Formats: sequence, C-alpha cells, structure tokens
Amino acid sequence: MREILSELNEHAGVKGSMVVTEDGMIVASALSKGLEQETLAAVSSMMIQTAKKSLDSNLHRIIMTSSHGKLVLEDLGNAYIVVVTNSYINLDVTLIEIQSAGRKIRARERKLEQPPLQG
Amino acid sequence: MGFFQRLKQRSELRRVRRDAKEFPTPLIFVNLIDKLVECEQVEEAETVAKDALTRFPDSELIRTAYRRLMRLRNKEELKALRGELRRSADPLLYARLADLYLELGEEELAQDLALSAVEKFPQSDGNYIVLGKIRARRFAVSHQAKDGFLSIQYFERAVELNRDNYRSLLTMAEILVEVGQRTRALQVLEQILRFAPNDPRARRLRERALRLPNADERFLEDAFRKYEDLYRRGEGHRYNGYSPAERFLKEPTLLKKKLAQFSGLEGLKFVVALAPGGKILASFTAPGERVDRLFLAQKAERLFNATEDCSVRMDLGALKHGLFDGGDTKIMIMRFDIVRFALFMTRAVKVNLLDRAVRNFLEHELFVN
Repeated sequence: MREILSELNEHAGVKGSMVVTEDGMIVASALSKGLEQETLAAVSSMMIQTAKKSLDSNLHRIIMTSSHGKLVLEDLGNAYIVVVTNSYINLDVTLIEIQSAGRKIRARERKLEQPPLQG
Repeated sequence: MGFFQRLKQRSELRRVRRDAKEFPTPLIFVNLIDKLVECEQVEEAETVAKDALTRFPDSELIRTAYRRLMRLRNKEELKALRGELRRSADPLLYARLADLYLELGEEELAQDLALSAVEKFPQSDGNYIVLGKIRARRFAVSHQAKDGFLSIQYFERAVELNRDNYRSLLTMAEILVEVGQRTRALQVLEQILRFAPNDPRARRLRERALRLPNADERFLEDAFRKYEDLYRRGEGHRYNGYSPAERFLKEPTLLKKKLAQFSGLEGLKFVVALAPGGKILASFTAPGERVDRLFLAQKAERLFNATEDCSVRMDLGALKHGLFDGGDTKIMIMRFDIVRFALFMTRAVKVNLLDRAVRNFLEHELFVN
C-alpha cells in the first residue's frame, strides 16, 4: 500500500498521502518532511466524523482549499485516502490520480481478503 | 497577427481597462492582466498585478495570475540561479533563489528551499530571513498566531547570527507593535537605533510603540493567540488594513441580495452567511425548499470549526473553501475575510458550475456594490 502512496506522491505538487480509518488509525502513510503523521491522522478523523454528521449520510469526498495548500480525502470503503498538496496544483488532474490510487488500494485489499485456494 | 486582429485586441483592452476602473474586483483585474500580456504590454501587466496583489492580498485568482506573470518575466534569472546552485551549494545562493521565489509569489517553493538550506547551513542568516519574511507575509493576510510567532522566531535567529540585520529587526518591531508588545518592540527598536540613530521608520515605529499600554504578555505566543482570537471574532483591526467584509457586518441586507444570485444554481437548497461567532447574517432558501435555518447554520459552524482547525494544524494557512460530498448531499463552505458562507445542495448540483459560481461570488460579486 505504501508503494501505491509513494507513486501518487510523485505527481507534481503532492506533498504526501496516507490511508486512515474513520477513527484515526493509520493504515499506511508516505509523507514528505514537515508533515506529521499523527497530526494528519487526527485532523482527518475529526474532519470525516464532522462531515458525516453534517451530511447525514456517507462521505464520499472532502476537498479543502487553504491559502497555502490543499487537502483531499477520498472514501475507500473501510478507510479514507488523504492527500496533502501545495496550493497551486491542478486538482482536476490530481483527483484522477487519487481515484486511481484508491482503486489500486481497494483491489489489493480484495485480493488479501480472498481465502486461499483449496487443494 | 493581422491588422484587424490587433485592432480588436486593443479595443478589448480599452474595455477591460474601463471595467477595472468602474468595478475594481479581483476577477476584472485578472482579465486586465491577461489582456495586457496578450497585447505584449508585459511591464504594465506587472505593475497592475502588483497593485492588484496589494489591493486584494487574499485573492486566490490574483495570486495565481501574479505567479504566472512573474514566472514569465523572471524565467532567465531563475534558470541562471538554479544553474549556479547546482554548481555550488552556497547558503547565499540558496537565500537568493528562495528570496526570488518569494518575490515571484512562489511562497511554498521559497519555504521548502529555505528550510532545506537552514538544515545544511544553520549558521547562515540569509535563509532564516527568507523564512521570517514568508511567515510575516502570511501573518499579514491570515492573522494566524502560528505565522506571527514563527516569523519572530526566524527573525530572532537571523539577528543572533548578524546583529545589525536592519530588515529583520524592523519587520520584527512592526509585528510586535501590531500585537501590542510595547517592551519587546522597544527593545528591538533600540537595537536598530544604536546603529542607525536617525532611521525615520524606526523612529516613527518607536513613537507608535511608546503610545501602547505597558502590558506585554509574559509569553509571546499568548500575545499572538489573543490577537488571532480578536481577529476571528471580528473585533481586532487588520494588520494590512484589508477588511472587505466589514461593510457586510454593518449592513447584512447587502448580503441577502448577493446570496440570491445563487438561485440559478441547479441543486441548491439553502445558502447562509455567518458572522464571526456563528450568528446568521443573511440567508437564501431556494424556492420550494423548506429548511431549518438555525439547524443548518449550526452544522455549517461545526464544519467551519473542524476545517479551520485542520488548516491551522496542518500549516496550510487560512481556509478558503471546502467541498463535502456525501453523494446525495453536498455542502460547500467558503470564507471571505471574516464572513463565512455555506451552501447546502442536492446531488443535482454540477461541481464545475458550482466552482464557477463560487469563484465569481468570492472574486467579483462580493466586491461590487
């Protein structure tokens, strides 16, 4: 999973990414220097929980834009992929990359969940 | 380019110039900058861009246009400096390149470069100055305690390494006066006046500092926290004098009309404007929709608090906007100075149209009368 995140981080403007559960448990992370893993997990969990309460439904995605960076959270089913980018990234392109990374993570997860073949 | 095409371009430029005089909004300034570049009047475009950045320091559109233009103007110098740095890793070169990035509006690149330089060359003052300047600029727009406090820390380190660092000392004193730290500011100003006793800026600043009450906070961080708190509550004054939302606090009826402009947005249910503290300033409910205004305003307030906290803790600067997508429901929150807006929508909303409407609202509508 870390490999998929590292590959995503190679995309221009991406500073780091992480897979985190709703209650803030870190599944995997690949963050550049200056980004604190525990802080990102904690704020992501807080954002997910607040957003779910406010939306009264599932949460598919959050896109937060601040003066010096952006944060994207995307639903993976059992967890969320969180991506931190710089402020002048083209999100249209980056979102495609994030979705693609999400699909790969879900596929890997399904593979791991399959029972081993008998005989 | 043919004669008629040039003629058409010039007439368009005249029209945008007129618009910029009549409706000086970020969106129109960006149009003017683009038109000037198209007509190869790049020097004037730079002057307009700098003016626009001073008028609208918080505008995303202006910052992007400025960055694009400055990159174009300074392509060669950037290339040369990068080449020099590749040949010899010198702390002065790092500082020069980081400073150039900063002037070009590339704050994040400047910060990354200066941070890597202070790790390699901790005894060189130049990169601490750049880091101090970055945080000071951010503080002037965001009014966030973290930015102000860090700028002082970086400048202090630069002064430790070079006692006669005029610019660092002066900016430090300006910030300390701004947050009401009389004794601390006077100490810094004394340092300047020791080596530049007739400096008019330091003398003026000293007079301002002497008029402050003698009530420094024991810990400097607390002074910044109190300053940020006042700003968030809409009670403090603005460091940069930029207060475009103040008129809406005084006359919320102005906002009501502006919110109604979202009525054309398919899928919109409700939009609300909140004053600092969460009080409803104005709202608009789409025809045929029945909503509990107070309940939705409280939801918006909670979302704002969580998102702003996230932005500060992740050191991403001041929150601009956020989109929360739940499939059937979508919520967009956005900040304009100290007024906060939230749009509640159904799945029918098209995100590209929403983006366009929000950009037009934040970068144009809220500035016109």
